[in-house]
Amino acid sequence: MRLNLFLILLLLGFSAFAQQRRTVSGYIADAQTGERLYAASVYEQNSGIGTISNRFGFFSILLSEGKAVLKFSFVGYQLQSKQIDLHADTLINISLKSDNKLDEVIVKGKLNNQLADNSNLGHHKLSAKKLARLPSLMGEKDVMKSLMILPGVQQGSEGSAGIFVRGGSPDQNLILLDDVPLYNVSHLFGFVSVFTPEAINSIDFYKGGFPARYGGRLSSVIDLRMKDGNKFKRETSINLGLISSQFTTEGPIKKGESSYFFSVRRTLLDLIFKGVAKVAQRNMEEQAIPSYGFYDINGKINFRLNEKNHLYWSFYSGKDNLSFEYSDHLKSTEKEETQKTSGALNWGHVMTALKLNSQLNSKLFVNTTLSGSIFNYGNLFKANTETSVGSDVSKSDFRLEYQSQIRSIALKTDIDIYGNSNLPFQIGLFANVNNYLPGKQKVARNEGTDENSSGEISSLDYGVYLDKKITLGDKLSFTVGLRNAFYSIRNQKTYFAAEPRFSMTFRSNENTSYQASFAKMTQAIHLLSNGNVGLPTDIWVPSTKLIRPETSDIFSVGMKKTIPSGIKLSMEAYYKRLNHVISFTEGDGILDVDQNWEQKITVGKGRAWGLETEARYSNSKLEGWMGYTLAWNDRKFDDINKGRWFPYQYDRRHKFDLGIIMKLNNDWSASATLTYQSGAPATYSGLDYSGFPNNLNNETTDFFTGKPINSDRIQYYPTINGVRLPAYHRFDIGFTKEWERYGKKKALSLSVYNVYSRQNPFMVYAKTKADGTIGLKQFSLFPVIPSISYRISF
Amino acid sequence: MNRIYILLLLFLVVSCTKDLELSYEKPDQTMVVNCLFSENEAWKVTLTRVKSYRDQSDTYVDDARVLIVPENNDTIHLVYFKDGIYGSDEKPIIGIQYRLIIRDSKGKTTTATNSIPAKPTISEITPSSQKTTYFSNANLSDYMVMAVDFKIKGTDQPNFVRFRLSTFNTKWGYLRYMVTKETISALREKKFPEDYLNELEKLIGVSMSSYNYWGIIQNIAKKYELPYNGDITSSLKEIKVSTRYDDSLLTSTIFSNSIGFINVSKDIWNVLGEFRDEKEVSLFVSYIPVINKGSQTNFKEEYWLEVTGMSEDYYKYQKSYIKQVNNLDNPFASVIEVYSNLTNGVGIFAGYNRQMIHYHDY
Repeated sequence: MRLNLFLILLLLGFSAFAQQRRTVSGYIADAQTGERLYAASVYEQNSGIGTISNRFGFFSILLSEGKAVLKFSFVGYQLQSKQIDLHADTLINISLKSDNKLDEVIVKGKLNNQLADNSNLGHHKLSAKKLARLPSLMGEKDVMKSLMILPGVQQGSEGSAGIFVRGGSPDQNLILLDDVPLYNVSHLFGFVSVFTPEAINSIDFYKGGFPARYGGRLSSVIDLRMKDGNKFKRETSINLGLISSQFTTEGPIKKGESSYFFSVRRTLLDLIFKGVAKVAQRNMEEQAIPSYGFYDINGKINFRLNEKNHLYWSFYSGKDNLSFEYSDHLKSTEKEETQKTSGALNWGHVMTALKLNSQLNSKLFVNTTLSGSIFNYGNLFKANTETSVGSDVSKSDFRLEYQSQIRSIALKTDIDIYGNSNLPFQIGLFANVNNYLPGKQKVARNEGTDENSSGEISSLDYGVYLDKKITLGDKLSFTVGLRNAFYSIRNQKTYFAAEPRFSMTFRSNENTSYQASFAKMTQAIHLLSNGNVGLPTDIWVPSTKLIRPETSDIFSVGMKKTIPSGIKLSMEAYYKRLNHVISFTEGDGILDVDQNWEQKITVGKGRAWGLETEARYSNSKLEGWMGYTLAWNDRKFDDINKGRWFPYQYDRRHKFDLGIIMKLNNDWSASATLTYQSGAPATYSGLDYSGFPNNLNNETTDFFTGKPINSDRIQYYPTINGVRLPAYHRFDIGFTKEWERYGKKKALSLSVYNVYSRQNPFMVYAKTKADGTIGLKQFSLFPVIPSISYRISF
Repeated sequence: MNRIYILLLLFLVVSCTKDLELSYEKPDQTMVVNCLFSENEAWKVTLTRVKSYRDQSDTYVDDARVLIVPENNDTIHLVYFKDGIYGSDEKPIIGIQYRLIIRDSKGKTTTATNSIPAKPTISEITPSSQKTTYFSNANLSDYMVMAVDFKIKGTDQPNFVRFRLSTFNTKWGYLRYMVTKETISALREKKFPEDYLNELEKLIGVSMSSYNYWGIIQNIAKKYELPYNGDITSSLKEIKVSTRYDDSLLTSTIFSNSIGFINVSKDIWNVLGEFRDEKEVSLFVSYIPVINKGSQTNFKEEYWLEVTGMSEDYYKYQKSYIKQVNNLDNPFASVIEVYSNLTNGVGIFAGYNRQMIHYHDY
């Protein structure tokens, strides 16, 4: 608590030493669409004083009275200057025009010396434009996969959209869509993420140096902003792809002030599956009809209430549905039998958020968000048999329903106080009410109905955060933050977490900076997973009286340097310490959650460390990057590997990425990416020993004496994850043509995924060979896959 | 252009599976110890080594020094018999801590400590004859069962217990079969191959239960590619005995829905439990023998409850083994390590205390 008070005093103290001057405040937006720009820079030419816009495009800069030349810039946009004669607090709204050039990934606003390298080590920003130019699997541009090209970010199994950041597991990523956390963000068992690229405006990705406004997860933050919608012009686009197709429309409600955005994406696979199966089996007594489909609906409306207040309403709904129907009819002289079996597995999110931006005065900006979300996973299995023997008819019915759910309502307020500084003092309050239903199962048969439930658990998470960037001269800047959170599990226990955040930047000269950061993170929600495939059947559970929240301490140091040729080099070393991480020891499968689920968990710790390097170059026609990560990632549980440290399933020693995006001419651009990562650790020993633990199906001991009479073979694993699977590597290329004809914008994307058809391991399993020995078989998913997608906007 | 299409097609049809030659963990000569000990059973410790799946050879350890050190008595030196088995005439005593010390020929020492737990006290056994249905959540299946209720006495220590069920059919259970010299002569007269008869001769004098004799005989016949022949079975000697041999007791399914007593994973043959205070336990045991008996009155189906007090180490060992076996067919499941209480080795050195309770006849 003493540390907290010290930090608060420190934060407030640094805000109090400024002179009385005039404030220029306002919003920076895209001139074509009216979308507000986050992290655009504002820079006064004569004094060198500058600031950056906040997440809603708002800025506030304190300048001396008199003439001032303000410069507004943002990567990918033309620089704009504005001369003002400042004698009173002034409100300015700026619209920047796109320069239609390739942009860059890392945010490095051309600010004054104090801000030239923001001190959030490990922060990356990705734009929708960049995403559209990367090659993709089956033409599906994917937000999550686009993050995998970054150092320190690893891919799970082949094709999976799940990412693993600096030794963390997928549940340790805080994935926010318009400030609302989402849980399962995968379609098609992980091959496609739920984020429709056309609906996303920007992606802020943090793997360290976390601002204090983020919390609740240990390893990364992926903050996605939906498009607000074009405030000036109505635009509709249709995108046709091999996996899914999208329809998007946006436009002004009141020109220049309010707008809407709506998009729907739907797979066509279900129609194909069902259609083909039905045609192929139309005359058969025995029919099996599979089906798989998903959809995403994104909507957003923003209203300008008045000059200082803006209201946003966002909506997202997405669902996957996997089903099958089987029927058979058997007829003999003795009896007639009809069997009907069907099953469905579905999972999805619904979320909505209402956001109010208020500029209370030129130095005070408040954003209040009220949101609600439901994540639901369910399955239904039905089997009916009707048997007729003569005039006797008997029926057998079986029905299994399973459901797992998380419901949340959240209220939070973020306040930016500019005071006498150009860098805001940020303070926020938050409260979430969560209801978890880890699992509920109902089985109905002729004999009766059985219900089994883990029981519902409610929690209230609430707290406060403070964040302040401080500059000391031209060369040194700090960001100091603190997040205090209470995790109160109803009728059980309340946990308190104090999470200090710190980062600093020292600029030795114009082109070189050194950075360091520390963040403590707490996570009061856990994912019980049976594997690394990212199945929707993985179960989210809260912390309880017995299971404490997970915590992490992340230390990182780094250096950034721009060499004269314009190549930007960065190097970052990190160490992450994890405590109270959990593992599901049972491995018993999806339908085994009951009231004793806490007993099936083992608690341990983790450690991850590594070195990330990156070189990046961009000009108006070319962007290239090369990244290499050297990393270690271990876990330790009392009940696993005899209590010794072992490589975590996401441990990859080396990761290398090479990429290029090139504008070939006015219409065509090309891209290529090469990725390599060390093989995944796995547990296959090929060793066993004899024992007498009592065979399951046969009596193996003398009934009365207890003497063993037979022996079982027990699989022996000298070390968990002691074997390495083959390395993963892949080369993808893509071409995009964008042109305009008769007022219609068109885009054609051609991609080749896995150009040299590398058989990367998706799954490895033991199989008995012809000679009786047991060997390992590797199953791979995707050979070379060419794809095409087409988009038309009008 | 055609070549491009052919190449493309070739890429697309490339098989998605291939054999992997991973650098397996090498057999590390880890000592394997098997010793489950109980009252009135002389000490017996079996020592082998971990080996590769592909290795069909025996890995018995025949040159180790094996000691049992009781907490309050002189050290017991076990002598080597054969097949990795070391033994002694001495017997363990309930409640005494025993320390096992093994020194192999390379000087490596493997140790473990354990004791025989108290015998579980069962009372007020109330069997039911009513058929009911037990739904196994793990197997998603219904089983025809009937209940048996009883009390199990608590102690001031944590207790670990295993329940299993066996049934004994008084008609078939006392009936046994044997190969005799007359069997061989009869088959020789019927021109059965000599190789087959030589193999069959090895079984002379072996008493086989009425449940498994047919399988044993047929397996040998199959080895010599002989079709099923009634002459073989009819030539065996039928013996009526008055002892319930262990291979005439049939293990049956058993379930529990009492708190603290579970079927681990998908296992349907064992109910394992942890408890401290006195408990009322409801088990559900197979009804199938009762159905098979029907209205026949010339024999009985005896129901036997096996109640084993287990040391905590034995309990963990068996539980983890059941999990390992059940997870093997699930490619998405994580591997389960079978528990071991050995230092510098694997396997088990643990005490148990078992009793058979003949609680009802149907």
